[in-house]
Amino acid sequence: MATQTESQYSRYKEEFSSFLTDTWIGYAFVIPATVLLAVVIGYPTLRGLYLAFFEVSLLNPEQMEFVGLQHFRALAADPIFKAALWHTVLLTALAVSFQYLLGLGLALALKEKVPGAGIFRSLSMVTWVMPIIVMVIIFRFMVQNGFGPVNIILDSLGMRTTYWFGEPGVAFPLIVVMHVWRNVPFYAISLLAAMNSIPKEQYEAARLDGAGPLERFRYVTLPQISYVSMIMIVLHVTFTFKNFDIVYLSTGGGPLGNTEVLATYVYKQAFEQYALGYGASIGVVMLILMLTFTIVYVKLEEVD
Amino acid sequence: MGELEIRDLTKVFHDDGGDIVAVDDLDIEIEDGELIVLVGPSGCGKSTTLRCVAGLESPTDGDIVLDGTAVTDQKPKERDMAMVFQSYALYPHMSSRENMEFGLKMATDLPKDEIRSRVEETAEMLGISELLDKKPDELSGGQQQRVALGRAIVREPEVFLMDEPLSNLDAKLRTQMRTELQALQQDLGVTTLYVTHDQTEAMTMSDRIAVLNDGELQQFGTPLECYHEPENEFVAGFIGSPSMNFFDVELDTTGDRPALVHEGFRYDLEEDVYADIEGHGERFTLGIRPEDIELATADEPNAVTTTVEVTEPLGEVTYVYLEIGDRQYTATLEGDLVIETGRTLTIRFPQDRIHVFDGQTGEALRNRSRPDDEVVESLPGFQSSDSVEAGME
Amino acid sequence: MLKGLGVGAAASLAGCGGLGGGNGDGEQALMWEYGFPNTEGAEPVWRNKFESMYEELAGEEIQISRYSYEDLRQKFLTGASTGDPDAIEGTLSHLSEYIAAEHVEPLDDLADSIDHLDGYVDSTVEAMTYQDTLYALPYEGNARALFVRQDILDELGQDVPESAEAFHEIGRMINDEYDDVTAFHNCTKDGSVRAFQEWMTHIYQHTDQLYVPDGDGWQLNIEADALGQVFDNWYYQIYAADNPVGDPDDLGTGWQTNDPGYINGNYAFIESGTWMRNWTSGENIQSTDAAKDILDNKTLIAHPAHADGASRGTFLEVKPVMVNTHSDQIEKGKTAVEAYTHPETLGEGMAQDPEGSGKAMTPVHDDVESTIENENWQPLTDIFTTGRALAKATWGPVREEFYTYMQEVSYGETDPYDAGEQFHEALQDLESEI
Repeated sequence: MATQTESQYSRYKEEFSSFLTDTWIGYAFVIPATVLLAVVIGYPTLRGLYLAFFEVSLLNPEQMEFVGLQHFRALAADPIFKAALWHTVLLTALAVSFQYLLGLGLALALKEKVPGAGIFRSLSMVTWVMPIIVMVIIFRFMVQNGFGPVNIILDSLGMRTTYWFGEPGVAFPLIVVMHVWRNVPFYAISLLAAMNSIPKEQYEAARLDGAGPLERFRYVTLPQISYVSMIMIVLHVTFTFKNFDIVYLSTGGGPLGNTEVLATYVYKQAFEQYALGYGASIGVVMLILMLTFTIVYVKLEEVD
Repeated sequence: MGELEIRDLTKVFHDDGGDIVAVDDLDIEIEDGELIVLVGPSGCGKSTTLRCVAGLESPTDGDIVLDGTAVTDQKPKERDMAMVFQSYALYPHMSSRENMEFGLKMATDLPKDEIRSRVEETAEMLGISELLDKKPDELSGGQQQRVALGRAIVREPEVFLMDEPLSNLDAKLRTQMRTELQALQQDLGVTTLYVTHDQTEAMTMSDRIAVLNDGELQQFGTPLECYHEPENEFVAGFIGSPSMNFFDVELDTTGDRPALVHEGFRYDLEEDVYADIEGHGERFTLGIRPEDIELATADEPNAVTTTVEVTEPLGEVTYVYLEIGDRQYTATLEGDLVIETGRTLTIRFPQDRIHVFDGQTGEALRNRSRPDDEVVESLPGFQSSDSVEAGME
Repeated sequence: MLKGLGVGAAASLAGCGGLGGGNGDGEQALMWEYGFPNTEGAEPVWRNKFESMYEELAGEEIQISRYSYEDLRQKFLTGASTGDPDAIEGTLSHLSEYIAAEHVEPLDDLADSIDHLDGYVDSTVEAMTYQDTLYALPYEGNARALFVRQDILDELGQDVPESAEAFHEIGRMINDEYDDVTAFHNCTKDGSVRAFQEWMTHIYQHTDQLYVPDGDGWQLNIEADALGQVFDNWYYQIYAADNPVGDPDDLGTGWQTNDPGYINGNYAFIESGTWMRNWTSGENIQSTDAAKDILDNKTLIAHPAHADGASRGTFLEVKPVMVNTHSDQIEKGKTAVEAYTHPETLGEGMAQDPEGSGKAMTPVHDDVESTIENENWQPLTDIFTTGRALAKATWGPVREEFYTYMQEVSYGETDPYDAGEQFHEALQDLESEI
């Protein structure tokens, strides 16, 4: 028996070492970058998780006091946290839904061979590549009291005008609009690419089978772009959920806390209240929510 | 009743380079239950024609008429036609069953169980019953082809349209599917318009063949008609493999007998042959099929001396590539013969087997004589005359 | 295989070899700042003077990186321990935070070694001191002043208002008379640092310091009623009351609206400072000529108005230059501080710079001549003396509370005096936190 297992073992060793000699160069190229990424992504994540259980001040980060689940208990009772959570979830749901629908529509439009479609395709990417501060400045200008184009139009229609980012009830929808405005082209281009990979014979077969345009869209197009759709949605839910700068630069979380989102709240806790531990605990909540969403959604998609 | 007429069909494509006439004034009448093959080289307009019939393209001019009603302006789904695509075009995210049900679901009000039973019947007929719950990517090419067929059959249309359905299959499968398809079509009795570039498929499967070139109809006839009585040089060269040999010849009336002169030989003409070509100028093309070439001795009339360049023994027959003049020609001889390359070979073209075409227009002036009915009927085993046709109307 | 791993690892790490303060000797000092004007086309006189002063003192060049104050603060609070930068400038509230985080090097020995130390204005050096240790040297000082459109007052036949009541009255008059001018604007955007400073301007009219030292901690040094008055006079009356002095449609805006807005002629009064003097161009300014006209001819500087029962006072900003205590080159850092705050740099650099000269209107050093040439701006000198600098508490939590209450009052959600009561309680709770 011993010799049998010995020879098995040496066979494995042989196979493994020949596998290694064949592939070592691949690993050699990949491992350093992977290690680097693991450090850059993994370490801060783990440290953030760790911090959530301590009371730490930004001004004295070495002095850490273990407080267990105290921060999480505090979160459950914190009205601003709850409001920020609600705003974040609502913002993400609205923004991603609109982005998807409009992106899909835009993709369908760009698919047509209309003259100028090519130029339009390039132009439509502008909103996505623009730096966020530029976008905020543009929107701020547009809704500015007095000279803003939006207000000029509203005025000519006899409607109320004001600095809309300062208006409770309007600031939040404006944030949604900014997110949508920015990201629709990204969806459109990706969905368009997915649509273009569907062979046109399937549409012809569908036409002969008696399917009208809506039915063709529903039965031929939609199922075949569901994988790309899933990727886009997961990506953007994550982006939107943790987005900080769009809100912070335009409203700072106001007016009256109307646009406070988790990301701005974390920032204020960490950098204004110096409460690193509490900020980290909010981060942990965000991490859990995002992980859950991603896992559930990807699993659902795989069921197909 | 699936009588299909293609009347004066013309289709022109406009692009930056100019106008491309894909189909030029095509006129074909198809009887109910016939399997008609549209055949021709790439770009001859056969696919375009099929798509016009289906309604996927709209004709520039002309009409498509089904059972006396013009359907030219109708949408594809209204035409009661089903199509089988070269790439099968199955819906990848649906099971075979769902693929087959799709048309019935979309175009009819049939109840679910009716649809289900139809699909299962068709699947049974095609031998794919166990594949019904699989998705296309789990099936082999041949199986996918059957599902595509099933999808068309289940709709019980007036017309089947098939766009090179066997081109994506491997050779062996193709041969098998050919016979199956033919049997199936005859069983179902549905009018079928079948497009292919493969002349073997055209010959074996069709009731009639429509040969197209450059958008124009060259000939519309039964396989044997096209084979033995091609209307022009194009059809003669396209149908038949290996293809007919063509010699550029000139008419010489100066000697005792009129003769066709080729740089490699001189061919004396009989009266009847000469009568057919007289008055059509001086230049002609002499055609003879490889299998009609016979071995001869040098002293026989119209013997031609050639050099053997290559031989391809296939067992049943041997293809011999001969040099005559400066060009190479093909002869199909008995498989038992062993012929070394480089040797001289004498052959002759029997006068009742030659074809002569007008040197300028390519029109067939003389074709070989038809195979006789009596010849066939005298064969042992063929007693009743309604069990075989000698390839003619 | 190990060879391959080694090669790969070396290749990828080579890329990040330059990161993170591997400051040996011989490396240039690094300074972070935001003070130098962002001159496009004009010669950076002040910056050049600083660089040459540093070279004179240190014998080599210095590296300068420019970041906005918010970025500077964030980066320094999180990354000071890496040793970069060696020197940094900022605002007083930054100094408090850096001291609490133990990131700044005491400069008492530097102070002893320089001759010109006595020339610094006392209040400015005091502002740099905490518990008897000097942590920075000052380079710029400005006190918040009331900018007045004298031409508008002349048209209405009014005097410059001193009391809050008079201010409101005149403001309302202006709103009635003029269609295209709003009387007043101040910042109400959540998170705006300027909003906090504007508020403190008026707090300092009711008390010398909001918090006073109490042993190692702090004690709140203001009455709830005073807080209520400030909310009432400078937020409620401006935005939420009937016939507001400001424009409620401006709610939620920041400095981008009041500073350029005043220069463009949209507002009659704002509270601002020396940086406005030469601000005649840039993307927010509509017309350079109109801007010059307003700043040169139509502007009068005055003490900010105050409530009855309060006295003259205002927010004093003194900008410190500090040394990173974790730096490997503390000496070079100190030299940078010396160079930046040197009266020569201030006099021949800042004061001569076409865009920066406004900042030298109220210089922090006696040897530096004030650049005020327009008599309308003369009151700045007097106002400077009434200015109070922030105490060395860490103001973050106070700011957070302030934004909440300020917006509640400005949007009319809460009565200013109720807000004052609640805010007073909240501020008391913060005594142990700051």
